Amino acid sequence: MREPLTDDQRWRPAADLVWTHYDDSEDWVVFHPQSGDVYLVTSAAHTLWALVADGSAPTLHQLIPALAAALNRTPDSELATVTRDTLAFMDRAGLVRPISL
Amino acid sequence: MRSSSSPLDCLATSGVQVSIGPFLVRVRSDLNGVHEYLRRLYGDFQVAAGEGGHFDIAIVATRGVRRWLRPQANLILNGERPFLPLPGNLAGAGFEWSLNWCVGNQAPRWVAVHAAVVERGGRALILSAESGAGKSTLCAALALNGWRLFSDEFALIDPDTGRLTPLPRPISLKNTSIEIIRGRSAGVVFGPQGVDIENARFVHMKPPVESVRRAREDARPAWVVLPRWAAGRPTTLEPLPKAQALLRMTDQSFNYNHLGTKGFACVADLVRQCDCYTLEYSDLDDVLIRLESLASS
Repeated sequence: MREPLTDDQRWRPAADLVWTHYDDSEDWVVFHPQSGDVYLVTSAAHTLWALVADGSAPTLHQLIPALAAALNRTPDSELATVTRDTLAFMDRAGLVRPISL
Repeated sequence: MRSSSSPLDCLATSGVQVSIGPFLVRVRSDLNGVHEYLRRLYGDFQVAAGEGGHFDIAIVATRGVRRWLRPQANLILNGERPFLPLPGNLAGAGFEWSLNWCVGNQAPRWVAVHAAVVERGGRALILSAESGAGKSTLCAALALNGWRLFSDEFALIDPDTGRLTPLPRPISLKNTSIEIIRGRSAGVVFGPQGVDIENARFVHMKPPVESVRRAREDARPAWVVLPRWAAGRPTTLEPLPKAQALLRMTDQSFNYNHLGTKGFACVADLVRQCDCYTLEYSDLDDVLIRLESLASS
Protein backbone atom coordinates (compact mmCIF):
# COMPACT_ATOMS: atom_id res chain seq x y z
CA MET A 1 0.00 0.00 0.00
CA ARG A 2 1.28 3.43 -0.93
CA GLU A 3 1.96 6.14 1.61
CA PRO A 4 -0.26 9.24 1.34
CA LEU A 5 1.36 12.07 -0.56
CA THR A 6 3.21 14.53 1.62
CA ASP A 7 3.47 18.21 0.85
CA ASP A 8 7.25 18.25 0.80
CA GLN A 9 7.89 15.11 -1.24
CA ARG A 10 9.89 16.07 -4.30
CA TRP A 11 8.86 14.71 -7.72
CA ARG A 12 10.42 14.26 -11.10
CA PRO A 13 8.86 13.25 -14.44
CA ALA A 14 9.06 9.68 -15.69
CA ALA A 15 11.43 9.25 -18.60
CA ASP A 16 10.50 8.68 -22.24
CA LEU A 17 6.79 9.47 -22.00
CA VAL A 18 5.15 10.31 -25.32
CA TRP A 19 2.57 13.09 -25.12
CA THR A 20 0.10 13.63 -27.94
CA HIS A 21 -2.30 16.50 -28.43
CA TYR A 22 -4.77 17.26 -31.19
CA ASP A 23 -6.32 20.60 -32.06
CA ASP A 24 -9.94 19.48 -31.66
CA SER A 25 -9.95 19.21 -27.85
CA GLU A 26 -8.03 20.26 -24.75
CA ASP A 27 -7.24 16.68 -23.70
CA TRP A 28 -3.87 14.99 -23.96
CA VAL A 29 -2.94 11.36 -24.50
CA VAL A 30 0.20 10.02 -22.88
CA PHE A 31 1.99 6.76 -23.66
CA HIS A 32 4.12 5.09 -21.01
CA PRO A 33 6.62 2.96 -22.96
CA GLN A 34 7.77 0.86 -20.02
CA SER A 35 4.26 -0.38 -19.19
CA GLY A 36 2.69 0.07 -22.62
CA ASP A 37 -0.23 1.88 -20.95
CA VAL A 38 -2.03 4.84 -22.50
CA TYR A 39 -3.89 7.52 -20.53
CA LEU A 40 -6.25 10.30 -21.51
CA VAL A 41 -5.67 13.32 -19.29
CA THR A 42 -7.04 16.84 -19.07
CA SER A 43 -5.18 19.93 -20.12
CA ALA A 44 -4.82 20.88 -16.44
CA ALA A 45 -3.24 17.50 -15.64
CA HIS A 46 -0.78 17.98 -18.47
CA THR A 47 0.06 21.43 -17.15
CA LEU A 48 0.68 19.93 -13.71
CA TRP A 49 2.99 17.32 -15.21
CA ALA A 50 4.82 20.03 -17.17
CA LEU A 51 5.41 21.96 -13.94
CA VAL A 52 6.97 18.85 -12.41
CA ALA A 53 8.98 18.28 -15.57
CA ASP A 54 10.50 21.75 -15.72
CA GLY A 55 11.71 21.40 -12.13
CA SER A 56 10.43 24.78 -10.98
CA ALA A 57 7.88 23.33 -8.54
CA PRO A 58 8.95 19.85 -7.49
CA THR A 59 6.79 19.50 -4.34
CA LEU A 60 3.04 19.43 -3.85
CA HIS A 61 3.37 22.48 -1.62
CA GLN A 62 4.96 24.38 -4.51
CA LEU A 63 2.82 22.85 -7.22
CA ILE A 64 -0.51 24.16 -5.93
CA PRO A 65 0.28 27.87 -6.33
CA ALA A 66 2.23 27.22 -9.52
CA LEU A 67 -0.73 25.39 -11.07
CA ALA A 68 -3.11 28.08 -9.89
CA ALA A 69 -0.98 30.70 -11.63
CA ALA A 70 -0.73 28.63 -14.80
CA LEU A 71 -4.50 28.12 -14.91
CA ASN A 72 -5.25 31.67 -13.77
CA ARG A 73 -7.17 30.34 -10.75
CA THR A 74 -7.19 30.98 -7.03
CA PRO A 75 -5.08 28.47 -5.06
CA ASP A 76 -8.02 27.47 -2.87
CA SER A 77 -8.77 24.20 -1.10
CA GLU A 78 -10.60 22.78 -4.10
CA LEU A 79 -7.60 23.28 -6.35
CA ALA A 80 -5.36 21.82 -3.65
CA THR A 81 -7.49 18.68 -3.50
CA VAL A 82 -7.55 18.29 -7.27
CA THR A 83 -3.79 18.83 -7.48
CA ARG A 84 -3.15 16.24 -4.77
CA ASP A 85 -5.48 13.70 -6.44
CA THR A 86 -4.00 14.28 -9.88
CA LEU A 87 -0.45 13.93 -8.60
CA ALA A 88 -1.45 10.72 -6.83
CA PHE A 89 -2.94 9.41 -10.08
CA MET A 90 0.24 10.29 -11.96
CA ASP A 91 2.28 8.50 -9.32
CA ARG A 92 0.14 5.34 -9.64
CA ALA A 93 0.31 5.54 -13.44
CA GLY A 94 4.07 5.98 -13.36
CA LEU A 95 3.99 9.40 -15.02
CA VAL A 96 5.90 11.00 -12.14
CA ARG A 97 8.42 9.49 -9.74
CA PRO A 98 9.24 10.42 -6.15
CA ILE A 99 12.77 11.70 -5.63
CA SER A 100 14.44 9.79 -2.82
CA LEU A 101 16.59 11.88 -0.54
CA MET B 1 -16.61 -34.57 -55.26
CA ARG B 2 -13.08 -33.17 -55.26
CA SER B 3 -11.35 -32.11 -58.43
CA SER B 4 -8.26 -34.23 -59.14
CA SER B 5 -6.29 -31.13 -60.20
CA SER B 6 -6.98 -28.96 -57.17
CA PRO B 7 -4.00 -27.84 -55.08
CA LEU B 8 -6.25 -28.55 -52.11
CA ASP B 9 -5.62 -32.24 -52.73
CA CYS B 10 -2.32 -31.68 -50.92
CA LEU B 11 -4.08 -30.26 -47.87
CA ALA B 12 -3.80 -33.43 -45.83
CA THR B 13 -0.21 -34.23 -46.83
CA SER B 14 2.34 -31.50 -47.54
CA GLY B 15 -0.25 -28.76 -47.11
CA VAL B 16 -1.08 -25.76 -49.27
CA GLN B 17 0.03 -22.15 -49.37
CA VAL B 18 -2.73 -19.56 -49.44
CA SER B 19 -1.92 -15.92 -50.30
CA ILE B 20 -3.99 -13.78 -47.95
CA GLY B 21 -3.19 -10.08 -48.18
CA PRO B 22 0.52 -9.67 -47.42
CA PHE B 23 0.79 -13.13 -45.89
CA LEU B 24 1.60 -16.51 -47.30
CA VAL B 25 -0.18 -18.98 -45.06
CA ARG B 26 0.67 -22.64 -45.03
CA VAL B 27 -2.35 -24.76 -44.13
CA ARG B 28 -2.48 -28.45 -43.41
CA SER B 29 -5.55 -30.43 -42.42
CA ASP B 30 -6.90 -33.95 -42.56
CA LEU B 31 -10.44 -32.74 -41.90
CA ASN B 32 -12.96 -32.59 -44.73
CA GLY B 33 -14.55 -29.56 -43.10
CA VAL B 34 -11.40 -27.51 -43.64
CA HIS B 35 -11.05 -28.70 -47.23
CA GLU B 36 -14.64 -27.78 -47.97
CA TYR B 37 -14.31 -24.45 -46.16
CA LEU B 38 -11.25 -23.43 -48.17
CA ARG B 39 -12.78 -24.62 -51.42
CA ARG B 40 -15.95 -22.65 -50.80
CA LEU B 41 -14.67 -19.41 -49.27
CA TYR B 42 -11.09 -19.15 -50.57
CA GLY B 43 -11.87 -20.08 -54.18
CA ASP B 44 -10.73 -16.65 -55.43
CA PHE B 45 -7.43 -16.67 -53.52
CA GLN B 46 -4.12 -17.91 -54.84
CA VAL B 47 -3.73 -21.44 -53.49
CA ALA B 48 -0.76 -23.62 -54.36
CA ALA B 49 0.71 -26.86 -53.16
CA GLY B 50 3.80 -26.16 -51.14
CA GLU B 51 5.47 -25.72 -47.79
CA GLY B 52 6.67 -22.66 -45.95
CA GLY B 53 5.06 -19.29 -45.38
CA HIS B 54 4.68 -16.55 -42.83
CA PHE B 55 2.31 -18.66 -40.76
CA ASP B 56 1.96 -22.42 -40.44
CA ILE B 57 -1.54 -23.53 -39.49
CA ALA B 58 -2.32 -27.21 -38.96
CA ILE B 59 -5.89 -28.25 -38.16
CA VAL B 60 -5.80 -31.93 -37.44
CA ALA B 61 -8.29 -34.46 -36.16
CA THR B 62 -7.88 -35.93 -32.71
CA ARG B 63 -6.72 -39.53 -32.92
CA GLY B 64 -8.28 -42.59 -31.34
CA VAL B 65 -11.88 -43.49 -30.63
CA ARG B 66 -12.86 -39.84 -30.14
CA ARG B 67 -12.24 -39.31 -33.83
CA TRP B 68 -15.34 -41.40 -34.53
CA LEU B 69 -17.51 -40.64 -31.50
CA ARG B 70 -17.08 -36.90 -31.20
CA PRO B 71 -14.57 -35.55 -33.74
CA GLN B 72 -12.36 -32.73 -32.60
CA ALA B 73 -10.01 -30.35 -34.39
CA ASN B 74 -6.63 -29.50 -32.90
CA LEU B 75 -5.18 -26.15 -33.91
CA ILE B 76 -1.39 -26.08 -34.19
CA LEU B 77 -0.18 -22.59 -35.05
CA ASN B 78 3.48 -22.13 -35.87
CA GLY B 79 4.13 -25.16 -33.70
CA GLU B 80 2.13 -23.86 -30.72
CA ARG B 81 -1.24 -25.03 -29.41
CA PRO B 82 -2.76 -21.83 -27.99
CA PHE B 83 -6.34 -23.15 -28.03
CA LEU B 84 -8.19 -26.14 -26.68
CA PRO B 85 -9.43 -28.54 -29.37
CA LEU B 86 -12.58 -27.42 -31.20
CA PRO B 87 -15.59 -29.56 -32.08
CA GLY B 88 -14.91 -31.04 -35.50
CA ASN B 89 -17.77 -29.16 -37.15
CA LEU B 90 -16.03 -25.85 -36.31
CA ALA B 91 -12.80 -26.84 -38.03
CA GLY B 92 -13.38 -24.54 -41.03
CA ALA B 93 -14.06 -21.54 -38.86
CA GLY B 94 -11.08 -22.63 -36.77
CA PHE B 95 -8.93 -21.65 -39.71
CA GLU B 96 -10.15 -18.05 -39.40
CA TRP B 97 -9.62 -17.99 -35.65
CA SER B 98 -6.16 -19.44 -36.14
CA LEU B 99 -5.30 -16.77 -38.66
CA ASN B 100 -6.59 -14.09 -36.27
CA TRP B 101 -4.23 -15.40 -33.61
CA CYS B 102 -1.29 -15.47 -36.00
CA VAL B 103 -1.84 -11.94 -37.32
CA GLY B 104 -2.54 -10.51 -33.87
CA ASN B 105 0.49 -12.12 -32.26
CA GLN B 106 3.05 -12.82 -34.92
CA ALA B 107 2.98 -10.08 -37.53
CA PRO B 108 5.34 -7.54 -35.99
CA ARG B 109 5.90 -5.57 -39.18
CA TRP B 110 2.46 -3.99 -38.79
CA VAL B 111 0.57 -2.35 -35.99
CA ALA B 112 -2.58 -4.50 -35.83
CA VAL B 113 -5.77 -2.90 -34.53
CA HIS B 114 -8.98 -4.86 -34.06
CA ALA B 115 -11.18 -3.15 -36.64
CA ALA B 116 -12.97 -3.63 -39.91
CA VAL B 117 -11.71 -1.57 -42.83
CA VAL B 118 -13.28 -0.68 -46.16
CA GLU B 119 -11.91 1.55 -48.88
CA ARG B 120 -13.23 3.90 -51.49
CA GLY B 121 -11.28 6.14 -53.86
CA GLY B 122 -8.00 5.28 -52.15
CA ARG B 123 -9.27 6.37 -48.73
CA ALA B 124 -9.89 3.87 -45.95
CA LEU B 125 -12.69 3.92 -43.41
CA ILE B 126 -11.78 2.19 -40.16
CA LEU B 127 -14.62 0.73 -38.09
CA SER B 128 -13.37 0.12 -34.57
CA ALA B 129 -15.73 -1.55 -32.13
CA GLU B 130 -15.93 -4.23 -29.54
CA SER B 131 -17.65 -7.51 -30.39
CA GLY B 132 -21.40 -7.25 -30.75
CA ALA B 133 -21.47 -3.59 -31.77
CA GLY B 134 -22.37 -4.33 -35.39
CA LYS B 135 -18.95 -3.76 -36.91
CA SER B 136 -18.94 -6.82 -39.17
CA THR B 137 -22.56 -6.34 -40.22
CA LEU B 138 -21.78 -2.82 -41.32
CA CYS B 139 -18.55 -3.95 -42.95
CA ALA B 140 -20.40 -6.63 -44.95
CA ALA B 141 -23.13 -4.19 -46.01
CA LEU B 142 -20.53 -1.65 -47.14
CA ALA B 143 -18.59 -4.35 -49.02
CA LEU B 144 -21.80 -5.20 -50.87
CA ASN B 145 -22.49 -1.55 -51.68
CA GLY B 146 -19.53 -0.16 -53.53
CA TRP B 147 -16.83 -0.13 -50.87
CA ARG B 148 -13.82 -2.39 -51.20
CA LEU B 149 -13.44 -4.86 -48.37
CA PHE B 150 -10.03 -4.29 -46.80
CA SER B 151 -10.40 -6.43 -43.71
CA ASP B 152 -13.08 -7.59 -41.32
CA GLU B 153 -10.81 -8.10 -38.33
CA PHE B 154 -7.64 -6.02 -38.57
CA ALA B 155 -6.52 -2.57 -39.50
CA LEU B 156 -2.92 -3.34 -40.45
CA ILE B 157 -0.93 -0.11 -40.23
CA ASP B 158 2.48 0.04 -41.85
CA PRO B 159 4.55 2.08 -39.38
CA ASP B 160 6.99 3.11 -42.10
CA THR B 161 4.39 4.67 -44.38
CA GLY B 162 1.34 5.20 -42.16
CA ARG B 163 -0.79 3.49 -44.80
CA LEU B 164 -3.14 0.56 -44.37
CA THR B 165 -2.40 -2.86 -45.80
CA PRO B 166 -5.37 -4.92 -47.05
CA LEU B 167 -6.20 -8.28 -45.53
CA PRO B 168 -9.41 -9.31 -47.30
CA ARG B 169 -10.84 -12.49 -45.82
CA PRO B 170 -14.26 -13.98 -45.15
CA ILE B 171 -16.44 -11.76 -42.96
CA SER B 172 -17.68 -13.28 -39.71
CA LEU B 173 -21.39 -12.64 -39.10
CA LYS B 174 -23.28 -13.55 -35.96
CA ASN B 175 -26.88 -14.13 -34.92
CA THR B 176 -29.45 -11.85 -36.60
CA SER B 177 -26.73 -10.27 -38.75
CA ILE B 178 -26.65 -13.51 -40.71
CA GLU B 179 -30.22 -13.11 -41.95
CA ILE B 180 -29.82 -9.35 -42.44
CA ILE B 181 -26.86 -9.79 -44.78
CA ARG B 182 -28.26 -12.91 -46.46
CA GLY B 183 -31.34 -10.87 -47.30
CA ARG B 184 -29.25 -8.21 -49.01
CA SER B 185 -27.04 -10.42 -51.13
CA ALA B 186 -28.60 -13.12 -53.27
CA GLY B 187 -25.38 -13.98 -55.05
CA VAL B 188 -23.01 -14.08 -52.11
CA VAL B 189 -21.53 -17.34 -50.89
CA PHE B 190 -21.58 -18.25 -47.22
CA GLY B 191 -19.79 -20.95 -45.29
CA PRO B 192 -21.46 -23.43 -42.98
CA GLN B 193 -23.36 -22.07 -40.03
CA GLY B 194 -22.07 -22.97 -36.58
CA VAL B 195 -22.46 -22.12 -32.93
CA ASP B 196 -19.41 -20.74 -31.14
CA ILE B 197 -18.34 -21.19 -27.54
CA GLU B 198 -20.41 -18.14 -26.52
CA ASN B 199 -23.46 -19.89 -27.98
CA ALA B 200 -23.72 -17.38 -30.81
CA ARG B 201 -24.74 -18.54 -34.27
CA PHE B 202 -22.11 -17.57 -36.81
CA VAL B 203 -21.35 -17.87 -40.47
CA HIS B 204 -18.58 -16.59 -42.72
CA MET B 205 -19.30 -14.61 -45.88
CA LYS B 206 -17.03 -15.09 -48.89
CA PRO B 207 -15.16 -11.85 -49.65
CA PRO B 208 -15.99 -10.09 -52.93
CA VAL B 209 -13.65 -11.22 -55.71
CA GLU B 210 -12.66 -7.63 -56.46
CA SER B 211 -11.36 -7.23 -52.91
CA VAL B 212 -9.27 -10.38 -53.24
CA ARG B 213 -7.94 -9.31 -56.63
CA ARG B 214 -6.83 -5.92 -55.25
CA ALA B 215 -5.31 -7.32 -52.06
CA ARG B 216 -1.95 -5.64 -52.76
CA GLU B 217 -3.36 -2.13 -53.08
CA ASP B 218 -2.86 -0.22 -49.84
CA ALA B 219 -4.81 2.89 -48.88
CA ARG B 220 -4.57 6.10 -46.92
CA PRO B 221 -6.50 6.13 -43.64
CA ALA B 222 -9.18 8.81 -43.84
CA TRP B 223 -11.89 8.09 -41.28
CA VAL B 224 -12.12 6.38 -37.90
CA VAL B 225 -15.69 5.48 -37.01
CA LEU B 226 -16.80 3.85 -33.76
CA PRO B 227 -20.10 2.17 -34.68
CA ARG B 228 -22.77 0.93 -32.32
CA TRP B 229 -25.93 -0.81 -33.40
CA ALA B 230 -28.89 0.18 -31.22
CA ALA B 231 -32.36 -1.15 -31.97
CA GLY B 232 -34.83 1.48 -33.09
CA ARG B 233 -32.41 4.39 -32.87
CA PRO B 234 -32.02 6.94 -35.67
CA THR B 235 -28.67 7.17 -37.41
CA THR B 236 -26.35 9.63 -35.71
CA LEU B 237 -22.84 10.38 -36.91
CA GLU B 238 -21.15 12.67 -34.41
CA PRO B 239 -17.59 14.03 -34.42
CA LEU B 240 -15.35 12.31 -31.90
CA PRO B 241 -12.37 14.14 -30.34
CA LYS B 242 -9.20 12.61 -31.73
CA ALA B 243 -7.70 12.05 -28.30
CA GLN B 244 -10.61 9.75 -27.51
CA ALA B 245 -10.28 8.01 -30.86
CA LEU B 246 -6.60 7.41 -30.14
CA LEU B 247 -7.43 5.92 -26.76
CA ARG B 248 -9.92 3.55 -28.42
CA MET B 249 -7.53 2.57 -31.19
CA THR B 250 -4.70 1.75 -28.79
CA ASP B 251 -7.12 -0.14 -26.55
CA GLN B 252 -8.14 -2.25 -29.55
CA SER B 253 -4.59 -2.82 -30.76
CA PHE B 254 -3.02 -6.22 -30.33
CA ASN B 255 0.59 -5.27 -30.59
CA TYR B 256 1.26 -1.51 -30.62
CA ASN B 257 3.00 -1.70 -27.24
CA HIS B 258 5.31 -4.46 -28.47
CA LEU B 259 6.58 -1.95 -30.99
CA GLY B 260 7.08 0.60 -28.19
CA THR B 261 7.13 4.28 -28.97
CA LYS B 262 7.15 3.59 -32.70
CA GLY B 263 3.90 1.64 -32.45
CA PHE B 264 2.17 4.32 -30.41
CA ALA B 265 3.37 7.10 -32.69
CA CYS B 266 2.10 5.12 -35.66
CA VAL B 267 -1.43 4.94 -34.25
CA ALA B 268 -1.30 8.57 -33.10
CA ASP B 269 -0.29 9.70 -36.58
CA LEU B 270 -3.06 7.64 -38.16
CA VAL B 271 -5.63 9.33 -35.94
CA ARG B 272 -4.15 12.74 -36.76
CA GLN B 273 -4.82 12.30 -40.47
CA CYS B 274 -8.36 10.93 -39.97
CA ASP B 275 -11.72 12.50 -39.30
CA CYS B 276 -13.17 10.66 -36.31
CA TYR B 277 -16.79 9.92 -35.48
CA THR B 278 -19.11 7.92 -33.30
CA LEU B 279 -21.92 6.24 -35.19
CA GLU B 280 -25.15 4.93 -33.74
CA TYR B 281 -27.52 3.15 -36.09
CA SER B 282 -30.28 0.65 -36.51
CA ASP B 283 -31.17 1.11 -40.19
CA LEU B 284 -28.47 -0.22 -42.51
CA ASP B 285 -29.80 1.56 -45.59
CA ASP B 286 -29.78 4.86 -43.76
CA VAL B 287 -26.24 4.43 -42.49
CA LEU B 288 -25.02 3.43 -45.95
CA ILE B 289 -26.36 6.71 -47.32
CA ARG B 290 -24.71 8.62 -44.49
CA LEU B 291 -21.32 6.99 -45.06
CA GLU B 292 -21.69 7.44 -48.80
CA SER B 293 -22.13 11.14 -48.14
CA LEU B 294 -19.04 11.12 -45.93
CA ALA B 295 -16.99 9.55 -48.71
CA SER B 296 -18.25 12.07 -51.23
CA SER B 297 -17.37 15.10 -49.12
